[in-house]
Amino acid sequence: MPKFQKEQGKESRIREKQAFKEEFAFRSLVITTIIGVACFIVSIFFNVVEIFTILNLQGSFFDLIDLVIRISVVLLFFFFMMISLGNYKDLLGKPSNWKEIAFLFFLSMLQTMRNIYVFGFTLLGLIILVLYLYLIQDS
Amino acid sequence: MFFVTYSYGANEEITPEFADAPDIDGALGDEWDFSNKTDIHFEGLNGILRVMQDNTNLYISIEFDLDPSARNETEFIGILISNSSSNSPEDFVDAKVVRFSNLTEGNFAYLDCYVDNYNLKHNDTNLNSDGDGAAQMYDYDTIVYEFSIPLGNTDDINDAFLDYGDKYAFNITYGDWNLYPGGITKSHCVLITIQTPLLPAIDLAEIVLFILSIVSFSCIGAFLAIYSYNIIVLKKKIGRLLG
Repeated sequence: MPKFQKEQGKESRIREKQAFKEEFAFRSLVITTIIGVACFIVSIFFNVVEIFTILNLQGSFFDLIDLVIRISVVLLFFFFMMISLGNYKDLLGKPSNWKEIAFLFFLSMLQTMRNIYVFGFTLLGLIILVLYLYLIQDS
Repeated sequence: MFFVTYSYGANEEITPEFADAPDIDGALGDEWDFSNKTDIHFEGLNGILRVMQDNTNLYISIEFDLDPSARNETEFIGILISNSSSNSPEDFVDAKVVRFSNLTEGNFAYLDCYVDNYNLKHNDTNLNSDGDGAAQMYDYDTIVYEFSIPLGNTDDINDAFLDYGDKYAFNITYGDWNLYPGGITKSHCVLITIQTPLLPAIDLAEIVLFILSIVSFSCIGAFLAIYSYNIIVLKKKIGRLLG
């Protein structure tokens, strides 16, 4: 009898631990998705609407700022959506595969099609980011 | 003696070609190749008048050869602008002048003037004079004067309002500035019709890219909406599983 109680208590602790882990993963999923969507909205303003052109903010300084923001939001979109997707798949009990990463890569590159410099630098940034994430996962 | 005199030259009608803005430096570069060229006759003095325009300015250059002995160190070319197609002296209201202070050394000044009671006043009300002008001499017998004259409404009430689609008389006046107003020796009148501004060229590639980016962003937006919905569904599933 005491042995049964002890095992029951252990099972309950494991379940609590599992619930806490899933709660944490879900919270991370929601937060990273919200940040990813926010980056996407900012990307609309810079990569489609071209807000700097509309506000007539021109000159080499504003061009540079515009370029940095355009590239950064797309890289951040990819980064947070990748974490979000990883959490999502984790909660479903499946690992992320290369097709999903390639799909996110494609969605990120789609946002950069209007400017050759944004396209080039984002492509470079995404390759570095994917390599970095791949390497830290291995280690 | 009035500065504005009757011109007995033939009233050629000129329709300027559209071209990129030239450098107003008297150098008569390749950019003038697209201009409308007309031979003009300053009462015995032959020259070439080039006229072109863009959406904001009218560009005029005058090139002529003159024997060095007939030149003056303080010669000038003035372009007097009528407020209509009439070349009567009383209708000329505005003038753009390039005058040499020392022809040998190539020192000149551009003056944005106006015409008051047939006389030229070079104290234009606008301190930042409108338009531009320059001159350059080649081999002491060929000289080129270039002018840029703003089109449409300017902020200066003494500037001629050159409206698009209308015809205006321009009197090209040559003389010696130091002998003003008696130094005017030659003038020639032409009629120039200001062309309506060209619409900006449509960049087809830019439009296609814009449409493609809208479609792409819509697809990404749809993906994010479906993904968010799946997260909500997942939340419910987890809630049930965890009790």
